[in-house]
Amino acid sequence: MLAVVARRLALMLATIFAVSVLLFVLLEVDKDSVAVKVLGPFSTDEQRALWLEANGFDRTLLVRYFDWAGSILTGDFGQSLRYKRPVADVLWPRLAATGLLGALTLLAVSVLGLGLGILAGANEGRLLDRIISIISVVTTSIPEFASAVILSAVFVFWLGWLPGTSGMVAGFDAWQLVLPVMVLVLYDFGYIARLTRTSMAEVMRSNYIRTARLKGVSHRQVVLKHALRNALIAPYTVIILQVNWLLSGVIVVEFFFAYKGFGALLLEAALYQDFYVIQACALIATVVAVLSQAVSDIGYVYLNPRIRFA
Amino acid sequence: MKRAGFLGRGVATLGESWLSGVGAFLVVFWVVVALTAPVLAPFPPNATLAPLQKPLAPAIVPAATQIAGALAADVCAPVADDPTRVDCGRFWLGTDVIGRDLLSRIIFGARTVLFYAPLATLLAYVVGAAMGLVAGYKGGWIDDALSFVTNVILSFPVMVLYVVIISIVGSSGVNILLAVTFASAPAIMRIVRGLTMDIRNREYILAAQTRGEPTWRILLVEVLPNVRGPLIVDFCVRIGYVTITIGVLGFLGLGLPPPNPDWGGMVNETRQMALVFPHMTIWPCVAISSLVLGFNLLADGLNESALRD
Repeated sequence: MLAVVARRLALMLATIFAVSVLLFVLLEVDKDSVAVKVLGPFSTDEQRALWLEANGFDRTLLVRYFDWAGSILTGDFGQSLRYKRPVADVLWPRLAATGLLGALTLLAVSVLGLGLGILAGANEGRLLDRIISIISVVTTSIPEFASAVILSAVFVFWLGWLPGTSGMVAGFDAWQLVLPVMVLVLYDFGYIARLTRTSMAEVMRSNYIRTARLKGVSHRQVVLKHALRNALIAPYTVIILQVNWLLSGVIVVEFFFAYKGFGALLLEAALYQDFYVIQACALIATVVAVLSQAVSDIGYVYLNPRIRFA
Repeated sequence: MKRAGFLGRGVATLGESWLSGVGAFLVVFWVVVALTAPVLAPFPPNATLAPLQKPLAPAIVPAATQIAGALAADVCAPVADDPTRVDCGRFWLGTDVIGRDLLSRIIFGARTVLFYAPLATLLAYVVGAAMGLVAGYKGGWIDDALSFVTNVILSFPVMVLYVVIISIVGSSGVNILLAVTFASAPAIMRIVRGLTMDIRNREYILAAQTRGEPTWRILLVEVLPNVRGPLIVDFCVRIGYVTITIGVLGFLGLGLPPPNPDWGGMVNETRQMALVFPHMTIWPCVAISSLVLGFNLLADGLNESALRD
């Protein structure tokens, strides 16, 4: 078990290192374009050359990379061109806001996805199973921006129950979280439900379940006591992996509802070419994603006794 | 009797399962719409006709508008008190903020999405399958290297990757194709690699090796055709996913440059007016969702028919 965890963590660090190199290559190697982005398109060649020299761009790539990585490791992401403040000051509150949105979404997705998946899988082939399967495939076919439009039309425009934007301009308001969470959950729960269904249906066909049935255990008991624990291993690991997907999903949802989170920050930065913010956001997103992948893998080993005791 | 091929069985399943039939219908519907767009669309998609018209409003358009190669003044009824405008029936879905006919834009938007989504998916498949075949067949350090690169790219949240790439290279049709390829090829590589490793020690592969066939020939003639089943299903799912991605990029303002219509971009252009004129945003959303649903249902049907063997 310990060896598995150690190997997984080593792989994680290697991935983060490779990702940082990739980002460095994508964003920093072409130094003239960096100067244009930082100084703006109307700067003169002379200004750019001066700026590049003052910021140590004449050193070799290797030195520049380690300097760059070192300052990031100490929490120095540079200065935001748009906000004229250190990137870190802008970034952390945004990340916290997205953390809240993401946590609520994951919670709702787990409850809804696992619940419906278990119901469908325990009743494989029956009407309930068919209905849940159809709902899942339909909801995962609607892009987030489309469901945001449709849900807004219903709950904001038609019924008038919920606020249509989530800017939180007048302080924190929990109601403004409802629509963003709803949109994210709607797109994602179907995937978890389908996966749980497959896993559950597979377990329900296994020999030990048949034995339990032959002993005369009730259907309810078979599902809750015998099948559930084994059927949830696969969905659990996938739910953790949804963190990766959520980091994509929040870009659309935060942009649509004007929620001041991490995704909206990245998009604004991309549209305004706010160079250091793009860099910081991409790095943070990837580190979070890689961390969640490691947690998922280690959790899978821990939960699955067939691997844990091997 | 000749065994029915994979696609043949797929078509047979479509008859059995009404859901995959619905999927096939939706996809075929949009393909036909895209192919016949110039005939089907009542107006040119980028022409400014009359702003902010609600659905079913009478289409009073400038007489100089070109409609299917003819002048509106010649094919439409004149308006009693305004010689510069003519009456061309109705705006079935209304018009947008700057007065373009929504129905025509949705019809021409089908062309955009059904051009870019399959092409991007295909490109990603060529790159991903090539990597996967080589990695799975050769094994060793080639496999290790390719797998590591793949894992690094896959560890990026996918939309973050798109936003970063597009922010560097700019948004254009070609760049969208390249970004989709870069982001999707790794997942395809993983699938193809697994399937290839599964069959690389079969007798017919060994026979081909003994005959002294070159590696590329073994990969393309012996391996690829034998792993195509799961790949066709995956292709279907992925094309739906790429459709969503292209829509999302359009919605975020990182998609194809205006004015040509794409569904995601239409939502972005009109969403400021959504509270007053919901029809402008709803219809493009319905269009993209129905197309993706079509691909997903079709994939489900093909998957079931593949599992039945």
